[in-house]
Amino acid sequence: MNITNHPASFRDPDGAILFIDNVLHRFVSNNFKSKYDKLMNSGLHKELVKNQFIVDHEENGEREGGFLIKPELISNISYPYEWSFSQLKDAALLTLKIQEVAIEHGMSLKDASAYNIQFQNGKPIFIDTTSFENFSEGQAWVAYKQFCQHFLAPLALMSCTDIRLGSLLKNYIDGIPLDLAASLMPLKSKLSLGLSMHLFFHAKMQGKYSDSGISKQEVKKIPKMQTLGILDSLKTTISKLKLSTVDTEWGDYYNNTNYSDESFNEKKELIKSFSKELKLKKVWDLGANRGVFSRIFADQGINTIAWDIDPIAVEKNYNQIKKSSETSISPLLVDLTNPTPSIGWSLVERDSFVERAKDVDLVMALALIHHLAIGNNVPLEQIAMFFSKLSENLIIEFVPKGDSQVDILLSSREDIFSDYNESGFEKAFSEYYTVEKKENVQGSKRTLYLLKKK
Amino acid sequence: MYPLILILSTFITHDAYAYLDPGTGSFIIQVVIGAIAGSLFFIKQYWQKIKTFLNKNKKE
Repeated sequence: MNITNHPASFRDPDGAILFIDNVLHRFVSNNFKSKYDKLMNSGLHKELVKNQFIVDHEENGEREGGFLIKPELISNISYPYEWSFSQLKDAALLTLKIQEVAIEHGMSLKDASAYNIQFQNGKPIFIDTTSFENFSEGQAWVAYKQFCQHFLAPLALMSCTDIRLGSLLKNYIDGIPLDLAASLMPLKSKLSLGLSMHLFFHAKMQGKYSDSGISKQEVKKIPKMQTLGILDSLKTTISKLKLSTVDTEWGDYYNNTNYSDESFNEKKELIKSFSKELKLKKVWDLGANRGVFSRIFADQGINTIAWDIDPIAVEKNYNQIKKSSETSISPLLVDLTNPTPSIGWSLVERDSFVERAKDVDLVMALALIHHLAIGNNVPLEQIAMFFSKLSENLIIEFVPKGDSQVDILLSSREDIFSDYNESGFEKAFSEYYTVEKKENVQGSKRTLYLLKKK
Repeated sequence: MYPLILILSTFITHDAYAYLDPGTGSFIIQVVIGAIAGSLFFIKQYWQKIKTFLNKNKKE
């Protein structure tokens, strides 16, 4: 039996993630046993599973110092800095809902980390079975600070200041410091009672008691009504946070492309015929915008991630998924010119974009290459090398000079891209790939390729 | 400021707690805002009950 510990799982000694013969397990310490029993026997776990709020698990034998549980697996691991506004908001509201249900059953969340939420079948789900402790009336919420840093602060900043500030979560693995968030918020946001209490006053109180020497202590007796009141107030505050309707560069993309309806459909058909013989379980669509082409695969039940640089496009995609109850497509945010790095202690706590591409069968890059090659000056060979790290198969669209989108990119700069043409593209990619299929996209100057890694 | 700390210090006990540092300020603030948030929650719940009661009567 080969046992390895998950490098990210060290913060909570009560429940560590480990792999037994490559199968994910959670070790539950004897110290947590009585709480685990309460979770399972009070009806709390049953209710959370019934509502699909938490991943189910099965018990899987004892181990020195505790026992093992085998949780249901999550298909795609993603992080809060890759979520759109509404994804983070739904994750926040789920956390509060779980805390409410937990209190009804005499328990409480002992942490409120956004990393305890993942997206499965289009919805957020809680993954940490060992995050519960006993609740007794009078007890303040130990995870209140973490909740405000992981959820309230980024949501408030994205809603009231700038949607791009969600990316601050990449810098601050334990959530955005409240004093920093407060300093970036517009003055008018102080008119919100919820933000005034949970963000501005909270930040002030943290500053006041930061070196008071009375940490590691608990607040005495808060009546249960007040505990529930704080939860309700957090819920109301977060529910009221909305995105302003400013469209970004890409948010309106499909109304502004180079395609007629006919060639749009033609491209869809080409992609279908290219991928027909491939046995696909997981597809990554890079530069997916709102996921129109990602759905060619997702609609067949293939696990598909629609990555895009634009937070509004990811937001619109997620809203569509919610509206139609789609289960196979996950929208996530990434800037391919600076993809999600690995972060955290020893750089192993959260995996990078590339590290999570292990089992991707097909990468699709439509109308993307000109943004990397011309918009970001990346040589074609380097683009080919990067894509070859992600998957065996690649469907890629070459967008030549003369295409209106490329001409826009070149209109304000000198054309230093002498190799940027179809033969230059094929030569660069032939280092890493063989061409399996190649077709012109009717009604455009573009070419679609199916490439296989050498 | 000292009287405030003195008053708030009476809300502090010395129990053991979990692995997460809850932060002193983040604990004390819950006592302070608990009264406001709790009252609002209380009113909201009763208002809901009154509304449900009135709607019921309307239907009948």
